[in-house]
Amino acid sequence: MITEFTAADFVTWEVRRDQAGTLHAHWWPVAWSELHVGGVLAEAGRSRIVQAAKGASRLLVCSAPDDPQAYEAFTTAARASQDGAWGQTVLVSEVPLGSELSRVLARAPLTQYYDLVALRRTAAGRLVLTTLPLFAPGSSYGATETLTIRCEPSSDIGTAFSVLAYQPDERVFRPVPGRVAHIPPGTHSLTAELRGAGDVRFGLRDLPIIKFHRDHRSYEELVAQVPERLDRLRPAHLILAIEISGRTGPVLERIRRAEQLIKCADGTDGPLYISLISYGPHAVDRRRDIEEPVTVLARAQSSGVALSALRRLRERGAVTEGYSRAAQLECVLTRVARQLTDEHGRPVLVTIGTRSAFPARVDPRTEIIPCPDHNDWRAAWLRLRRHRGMTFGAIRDSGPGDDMWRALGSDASEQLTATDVRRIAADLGLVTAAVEYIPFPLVETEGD
Amino acid sequence: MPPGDGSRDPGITMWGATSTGKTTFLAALSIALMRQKAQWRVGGTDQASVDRLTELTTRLTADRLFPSATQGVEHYNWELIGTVRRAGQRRWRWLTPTYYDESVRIPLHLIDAPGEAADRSKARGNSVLWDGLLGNMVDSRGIVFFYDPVREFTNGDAFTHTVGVLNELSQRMRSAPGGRLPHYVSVCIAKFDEIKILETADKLGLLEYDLDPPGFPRVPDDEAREFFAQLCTRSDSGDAEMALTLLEQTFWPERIRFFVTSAIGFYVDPHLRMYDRDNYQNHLPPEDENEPEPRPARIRGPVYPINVVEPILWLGKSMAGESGE
Repeated sequence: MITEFTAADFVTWEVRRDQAGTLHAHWWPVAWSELHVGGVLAEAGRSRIVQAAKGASRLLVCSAPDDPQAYEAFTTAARASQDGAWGQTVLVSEVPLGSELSRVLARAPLTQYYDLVALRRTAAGRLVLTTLPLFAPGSSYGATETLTIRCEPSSDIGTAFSVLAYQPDERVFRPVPGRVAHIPPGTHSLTAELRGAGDVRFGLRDLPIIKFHRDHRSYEELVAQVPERLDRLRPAHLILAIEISGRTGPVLERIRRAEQLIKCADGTDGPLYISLISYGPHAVDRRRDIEEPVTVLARAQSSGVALSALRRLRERGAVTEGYSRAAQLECVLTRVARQLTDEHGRPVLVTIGTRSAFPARVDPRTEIIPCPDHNDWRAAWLRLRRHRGMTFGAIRDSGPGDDMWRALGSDASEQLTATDVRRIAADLGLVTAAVEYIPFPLVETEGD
Repeated sequence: MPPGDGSRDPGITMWGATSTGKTTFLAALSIALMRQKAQWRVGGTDQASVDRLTELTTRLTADRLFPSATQGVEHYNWELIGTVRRAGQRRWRWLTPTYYDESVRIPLHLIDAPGEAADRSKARGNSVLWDGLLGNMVDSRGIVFFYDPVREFTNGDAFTHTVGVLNELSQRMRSAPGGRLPHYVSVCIAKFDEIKILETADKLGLLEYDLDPPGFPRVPDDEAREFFAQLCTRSDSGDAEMALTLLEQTFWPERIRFFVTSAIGFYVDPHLRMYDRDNYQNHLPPEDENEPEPRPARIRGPVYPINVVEPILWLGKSMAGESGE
């Protein structure tokens, strides 16, 4: 308790810690007019001042020593204190206690542990609540802590950064006011700064522009929004085979679809490795005609590198020469089957084109000339299919295509001009099918 | 010179339905002789024929394109120039005769008429075509008859083409001795390079392979009639068998020979220079019109004519022998 004598009134302050260890100050002012009669401190008023100062008060403060009323009341209380040996500290201050007190309270060291509320995803996909240590007892104003967290899509609501306080011996968690922010999905470096007991401010090192606001939802309300599970996807190796033969328009459209797919798959989960392969037709006569070979534009690279390679491919344009009835898909599949490893995660092969493959030998049905290297698309496809988790997707210019295109689109298939990129990415397991609201950040490590 | 006036050496008429490969066959003749490194060569006897010979050959080799469809009746005054072995006069009866090589020129008055000319119903509006073809056949002593099994698989019109022409020809030459037409006939079972035809011959067990590189498959000439008969049974209309019967009833059977031919031959990889059973397709169908620059039917690689010289040479020699040359 503190008793303050100001120019306007006589104030009784009560400073208490709540259960979370946060200091709170309450005050009860009594105007001088209530204590004076005819401009003179009445006996009843004097008695009331002495009683208040004598109570539980530990500090008598006069913040208006030049004011006669305040100073008279202060000296009255101080004298009574000395007479009764109450042991209060007596201060004369030029500064109002209210502003000084809030500064002092903020700088008070913590008496409890502060942890950030987070979610941990088990290997089975269940989400369990957990905490990440922020501040220990004794931490004071200005203390900072940096954590690595991962945010899931948080829709319009934002991700909640809730702090729980607890005593080391009782392990009973008590929420302190939390904050909320709209944070892009992904892994971030979170900085927490202690601004006082019950006041933790956050920021992102990688995205300092992100603003955190007071979260008015209760902790119980937030916990109720935690879904039971989160089906995160395993690391994927997205292999994009893009046909560059034919008219310029469709070729550029195929490249655009590849870009969209990469951006869609990259933004939601990871890690993602991308390989890019361009292919066109074989030459009718390799001795007389120039043949555009199957070209690996990127091998297990990041999305940034892959998108740059696609930009260069767009500048290169369409291949209009060569045999017009087929493209080197059998060579693409053979090469991928020969070189693919599980090193970069679950392989996902997406073929974007329209033509059939060259057959391994003369084909009486299609009369397409054979691959000069006698590569067999079916044998290569069967070999690829044996890879653990192998998934096939196809985006064809139009129509379902032949047996090969059906095999290449066995897990997901779309038409070039009406491609639902999000859907094909979900069908191929590159993104989760439905975006759920995950209220808290996730810890990066996984375990049962 | 109007056809049918009989005022020049008898020629050889190319006869067959539309797109059976008559002109391509002629274009391949010169190439075939060069490929065989034979002592025979083909030449033109007038400037127009020389020009046409050069044009046809160039289109097939350098451009790798098929000749355009024949529009009117075309006369090619070519000649086969080579040598034949002759028996010399014996001095004494018990001595064996001596032989000597004699240079000969076998005139090839080739008449190439569009396929429509052989179809009276189609040529009815163009009597010049019909009369041109028939008049030339009357004047000719040799006929190269083209049978396209690929066309027969889909159109099945070989008999229709044959019966109309032969009935008309018989009527025009009804004074022929023995009641049969006097022509020598080379029946060319064309487009042997087509996948379906080769596979049919393979299934029938009629294939033999050349021992010399590039080791092409062949149907031996003595099996060619059987192959023709078998192909006729696979006709779309089921009437093709009657075409064979009709040919053998109209001409003297000993004056008919069958050849399994291909003007362009099989594809040979220029690096391997060997026939590849898995990669022999030399004919590329026309490209889809949706392609940026759709190309017509074309030839994939170098041309290796098969049995192109033989039907002409046989006709030439037979006709020359009959005339006492």
